[in-house]
Amino acid sequence: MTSSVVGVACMSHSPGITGFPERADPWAAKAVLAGFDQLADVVDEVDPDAFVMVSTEHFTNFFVANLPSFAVGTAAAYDLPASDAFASFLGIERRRYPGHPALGEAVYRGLLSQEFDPALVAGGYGFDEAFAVPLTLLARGRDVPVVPIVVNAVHAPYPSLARCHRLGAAIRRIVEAQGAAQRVMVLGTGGLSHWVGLPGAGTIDTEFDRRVLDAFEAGRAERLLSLSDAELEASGNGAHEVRAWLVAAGAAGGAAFRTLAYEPVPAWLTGTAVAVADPANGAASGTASGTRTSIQAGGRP
Amino acid sequence: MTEPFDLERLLWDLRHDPRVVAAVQREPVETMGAYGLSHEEIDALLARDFGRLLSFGVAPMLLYFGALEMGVSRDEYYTALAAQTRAEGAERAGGEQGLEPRVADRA
Repeated sequence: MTSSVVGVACMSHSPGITGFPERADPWAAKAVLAGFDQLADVVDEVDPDAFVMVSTEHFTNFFVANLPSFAVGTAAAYDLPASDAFASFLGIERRRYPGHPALGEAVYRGLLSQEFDPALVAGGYGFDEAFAVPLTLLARGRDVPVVPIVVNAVHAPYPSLARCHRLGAAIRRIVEAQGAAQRVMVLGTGGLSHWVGLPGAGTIDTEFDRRVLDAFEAGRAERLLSLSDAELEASGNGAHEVRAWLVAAGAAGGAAFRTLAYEPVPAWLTGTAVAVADPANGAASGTASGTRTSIQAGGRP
Repeated sequence: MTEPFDLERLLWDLRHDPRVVAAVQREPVETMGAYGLSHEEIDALLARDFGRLLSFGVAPMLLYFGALEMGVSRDEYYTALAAQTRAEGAERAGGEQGLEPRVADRA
């Protein structure tokens, strides 16, 4: 039996989604949560054996004394979230979340063989909002074992966008070549525009967000690879997290994404989106028609 | 690398070691000095001048998280930062006008 990437999705991971949803415009919060709910439906339908989940982390585990550009988790379990303080902040009950050591090992070794040289995280890693929020919203009582992949998007210098996209393509090749997990779903979390710890906090750059979503809906994420760090920075220091989306896009092999939700949510400081692709449809499949559920919904009270 | 490593190390430790939080509360100047911080950095930290601390090149996320550990609330942080940014803008403009606050919502 062959192994494959059976689904790819991207989403924001703002702490407010679980931690303080009541602060957001109720209509926007409902639309975002509905998007996550639709994605959970997709996960149910796809029924993956494992997630490969790509995101950044916010100085929860890594510091500038030793900051990897990429890291791969091979642990059997992770703290979700990382601490009691995080549990309170995120509104998430703290627990252990299962990893997938065999798939993690395959991804780690596979990336080494393809000259990506990620850092190894064999244990002792706790999830902050980057992994904890999406995994909680998608769980529905069953924990899909996860291989976390961390991309540095918090401290310059960063890995290039093109390298992140190639990393995703490499992950897809590795998944297809290994036998530890037959059905793998690749998830990228972060973004879209937002400022953290800066005077711009609360500003949402909807133009940037729509540029990202347009490229993903067209199955042309590579349009974004020419964005400079300065251009990303203009949409907030959090916009660097689009790297995680580009890794996922690389794993999607050019498949078009459907945007399940997009809402600019100042109270969460984030342009908040959920998007999904079926990698089996390939580059020529799908159009953007009828995809921006929340944008097109209209009738906002 | 030109980032202020010692300052960032203190902010990292504040987030990960309650003993450092207690030490900063008990003996702030001595503790910050033991981390190798400059007088400028210590003054800015004591004054909670986040705009100035950012101007030193500290990672914004580390500063924000470190501020939370020093007992500054999310709202207080962004309110102070907006005010400091406006003040800096006014100073740069010769006092004629300040920067427009970019904080759309500090809920």
